This record gives sequence, C-alpha cells and structure tokens, in this order.
Amino acid sequence: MPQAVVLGEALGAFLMEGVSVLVSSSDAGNRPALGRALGCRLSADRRMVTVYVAAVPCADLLAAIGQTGRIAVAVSKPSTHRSVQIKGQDARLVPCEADTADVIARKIDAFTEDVVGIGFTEALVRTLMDHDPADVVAVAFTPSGVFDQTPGPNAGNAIAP
Amino acid sequence: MTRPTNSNELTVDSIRDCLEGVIPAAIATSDADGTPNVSFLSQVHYVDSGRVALTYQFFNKTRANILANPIATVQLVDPATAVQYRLTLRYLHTETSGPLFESMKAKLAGIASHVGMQGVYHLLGADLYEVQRIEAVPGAALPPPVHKRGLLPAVRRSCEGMLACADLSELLDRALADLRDGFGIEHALVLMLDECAGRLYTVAAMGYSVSGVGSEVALGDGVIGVAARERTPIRVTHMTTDYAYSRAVRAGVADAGVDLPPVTEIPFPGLPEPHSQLAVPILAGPKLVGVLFVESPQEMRFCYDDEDALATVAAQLGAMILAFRQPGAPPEEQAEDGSVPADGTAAVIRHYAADDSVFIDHDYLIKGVAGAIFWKLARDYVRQGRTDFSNRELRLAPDIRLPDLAENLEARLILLQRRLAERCPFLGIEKTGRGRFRLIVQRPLALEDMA
Repeated sequence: MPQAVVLGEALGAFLMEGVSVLVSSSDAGNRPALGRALGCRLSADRRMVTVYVAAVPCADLLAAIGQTGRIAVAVSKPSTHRSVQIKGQDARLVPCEADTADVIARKIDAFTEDVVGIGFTEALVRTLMDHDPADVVAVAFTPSGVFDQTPGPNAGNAIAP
Repeated sequence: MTRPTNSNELTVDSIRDCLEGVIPAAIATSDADGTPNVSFLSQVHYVDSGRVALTYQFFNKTRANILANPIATVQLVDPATAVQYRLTLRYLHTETSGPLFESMKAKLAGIASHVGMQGVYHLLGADLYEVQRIEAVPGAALPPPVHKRGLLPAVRRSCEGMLACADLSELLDRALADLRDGFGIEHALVLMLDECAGRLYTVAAMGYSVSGVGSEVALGDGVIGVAARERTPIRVTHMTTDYAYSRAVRAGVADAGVDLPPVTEIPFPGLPEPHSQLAVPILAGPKLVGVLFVESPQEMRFCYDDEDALATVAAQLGAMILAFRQPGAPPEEQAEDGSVPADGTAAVIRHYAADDSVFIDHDYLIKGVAGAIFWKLARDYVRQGRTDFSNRELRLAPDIRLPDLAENLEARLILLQRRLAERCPFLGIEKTGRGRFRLIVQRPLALEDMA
C-alpha cells in the first residue's frame, strides 16, 4: 500500500480552482471506467479528496469504485491546459455534506467562465454539467500519488504533492 | 429535450461530429495491476463505422497502459448538443506512416495551433482501436443544429452536372461552379499531376484575385501535396503554418553572364490565412490524376461529411477525366481558317530547352509539357503557316516529352489555353472539334530558341 500524501497548498488551491474534473476507476477485471465529476473538494487537513458525481450517468464508474476502491482524478483548467492527476486506492461512497450543492454550483460557474473565455457557449457548458441534485453522490479517497497531466512530454510524471 | 437511452444502435458513424477535436476527449486506461489512469485526448479520429484512431504523441502512462492492457474507455462530447458518449475501445495496432497517419498529422497540426500547442503536439503514431461499444451518457441535451444545406443533394447535382459536360475544360469549370452553388464553397482549385516532375499544376481556379493557373505544388507540399502523395483526403480545421506551401526562393542568382532561364514561377493563388482546408485526390481508375482543393477563411468549415461529399465529387471528376482521355476522332480535312492575319510588330517568343519554359516579349508564359506544346505550335506556325492542329499529332510529336499515352494532354492544352488568355491578348487556342484546335495569332512571331 503506497504512502498516503498530504496535498500542498498550491495543489490544494488548484484543486479548488481547477475547473474540469474527470474521474476514472477500474473494475475487478481491470476494465477502465470513466465519468465527469460535478465538483470536488479537499478536506481541511488536505489528506482527503472528495469528488461529486451524478450516479445515473456514472453507474459503471461507481460500480468499479465499489469493486476495487481504485480511483484516478484529473483536474484541469481548459484555458491554460494545466492539469494534474491524483490517484488513490481507498475510494468509497460517503454521505454528501450539507453544502455540497454550493460546492458544485461554484465549480460549474468557474468551469463555465473558463471555457466561455475560450469560445464555448454558456448554454453548451451548462447543458454538459446539468444534473439532478437528488442523483449526486460523494466519493472520497486518500491521495496516494500526484502526477503532472499538462499536455507535453512530462505528462504522467509524478510531481511533488 | 431528453436524449434516447437505448443506444444499442450507435456506431462511430453516428457520432462523427464529436470527432472534430472541438472539445477535448478523455481516456481512461488501466495498467496490468489495475491502477486506473485518466487523461485528455486532442484527437479521436474517425476510421470507419467500427474503428477510431487516437494520436500517439508521447510515451506517457496512457500509452504504457494500452500496451499492457488494451481496453480503454473514452468519453466524447458533441460540440453542438453537449451529449456525451462513452466508448469502450480495444487497441489493435499503431501506424507510423501512410494515409491514416498523414491525415491525423495534418488535422492535429490545425488543432495544436488552435489551442496554442503548436510545437508541443507532434504525432508519433496513429493508434488504431476497435470500438466495442458506444453508449450515450444519460443527461440533458441541446437541440441539434439545423443544416441549411444538404450535402447529398449538392453531390447529386454536381455529379449530374458533370455528366452533361462535353470536354475537360467545361468539366473543370462546371465542377468548380457547382462547388460554389451547391456547397457554398467560395475558394477552390483543381490541380493535375505531372507524373515525371512529381508536381501538380493548377488548371482551374475559383474565388481568387489571380487565377494561379499554371502554379505548381510539389508532391508532399502542404495539404494538396500530401493528399496527392498519400492518395487520401487531407483536412485541416484551423489555421496552421505547418501546412503552408513552401514558396521557392530564388535569391542571389545574378543572371548577368549566366545562361540560366529566368524565374518561371507562377504564384500559388491560395488564401493567405486559410482557417479550413481540404484537399481530395482525384483518381482515374487506379491512377492519381490530380487534386481537388477547397479552402475557407472560416474555422471548422469542412467536417467529415464535407470530406465524404467532396471525395464523391472527386471520384466522378476522375471518372469523367478518364472518359475524356479516350482518343478522339481522326483529324478531318483542314477546317476553314477563320483567324485574322497577323499584323503589327513581331512578338518575341523565347524558348529554353532546359525546361521548355516559354517567354513572350520577356514575360513568362509556361514551361514543361505545356511549354513544349506551345513551342511546337509556334514553330509550325512560323515555318509552315499552320494554325490547325490535332491532339493526336501532339501525342506523336517527338519533341513533346509526354510521359506515356495516359498522360493528360488535354489538361496541358487547357493550362496553355488559360495562360494565353490571361497573359497574351494576341495569341489564343480555340477548340475546333473533338481532339482538334486552332492557334489564333494576331501579331507576327519571332522565335528565339535558347537551347
């Protein structure tokens, strides 16, 4: 079991501000699963990441997480291409906090602002992120590795958390 | 609006609009131990209804994973409706050259410059994948865009229009006019292949301030040259300098005392900053005969469906070109010569044997096979007073170096005819029947052979 890592302040800030969040896992047969998250948050002690996904469109992803607990989360800012990937092995469903809807709303606003700035329409982004609030579930994990994902030859390299 | 949830019927054909690279796709893979990895894809390329190809640009984690565990999941977004699709893929193999590789490389160059990644995105290979499953992700959707133009009706009209043409010249002009009227395309060229020189020369143009007839593009140069070399459509959806045409620079050649022919380059007429370009090879039977090229100052002007439509138009064009190459009727009795007697000061026709380039009163006209044809016509006119000629005698003339019988003599004549019409008011070529034509001369000619 790899060492759990504590995310640094800069990375923590990017996690909150970075706007596009993709989540993957793999099932017991090592088949990869993928879904788009509505938002994410870092715990106050910076030892736990929580991602929020809509359960119906992410059924395969949640099933895989349920089987293996494996998770890889890519957080990126489309306007700058900056992207990091955070991996963990203990992902599990946790109850949503009371302010989950606010966290998601802020993330979607930030995502919308960022990609409208590079030429996409607000209607497109809002439709892409549209979801049923009752369908939202929270997946929490302890980061075990952080990787550079910005396009280029260094993508995939481990970086300091 | 709710999208259908029964997605059993989806094929790659159903989701081609998601494959233009407008919204980056995501890919999830897993290594042999099951550790997942998620990253972004700049391009998911359509291969056929059951396969896609992804760009291999760096040896990164995704790449290592698919070599160890060939199953991947890709998520795509329709840029118009925001519908998301999830594809289950199985890695097949990688191609590092050839048509698929070159068409992905060109498209990637456009995408890279569009997103500010020119010089970062670099194609090492085209990774081919079998698509095992496509699922529409449940969620909201915007209404699909309304298309003002139907590509299929435009293709039909274009093919029918070409069938009605009597000769190659009319065919080329008709094909371009139908691109404008049926497809709304404003800028287009037809180039023909000079097999010996490994170059393409422009025979017909639409939508440029200078026609550029006679301008040349080398095989492998720009989208036109790559489309010809690889015999595959090459399409670029954004402005990129990677596929700009290299313009021959002829600096520092002092002509004084050096017996070199002067510059014989006709400028390529293309748009200075095309944001969309599409070049489609024209094949006659198995042989490449030319390229149909269209471009636009607008981004994303040509998509997969446009590429298919123009490939169909090019196929019809190729079939018609082949039909026009069948030998014409034998020459008839000399037709009545209706030309005006040559009058005034003599025009100096200078010919350089090295490349068959021809200058009229020091202005460059044409070179190569078309230059050799003109030189023969001019000599026969001056020495024998002949004005009427047949294609057949040109094919048999020893001083015109036609590569083989399949060589498109008609296209050379059109090139010569159009260059004369643009450059030389007192000389012209006029068709007098199938496989026959007349040289119109309105000033005396003085010949200078620089052999």
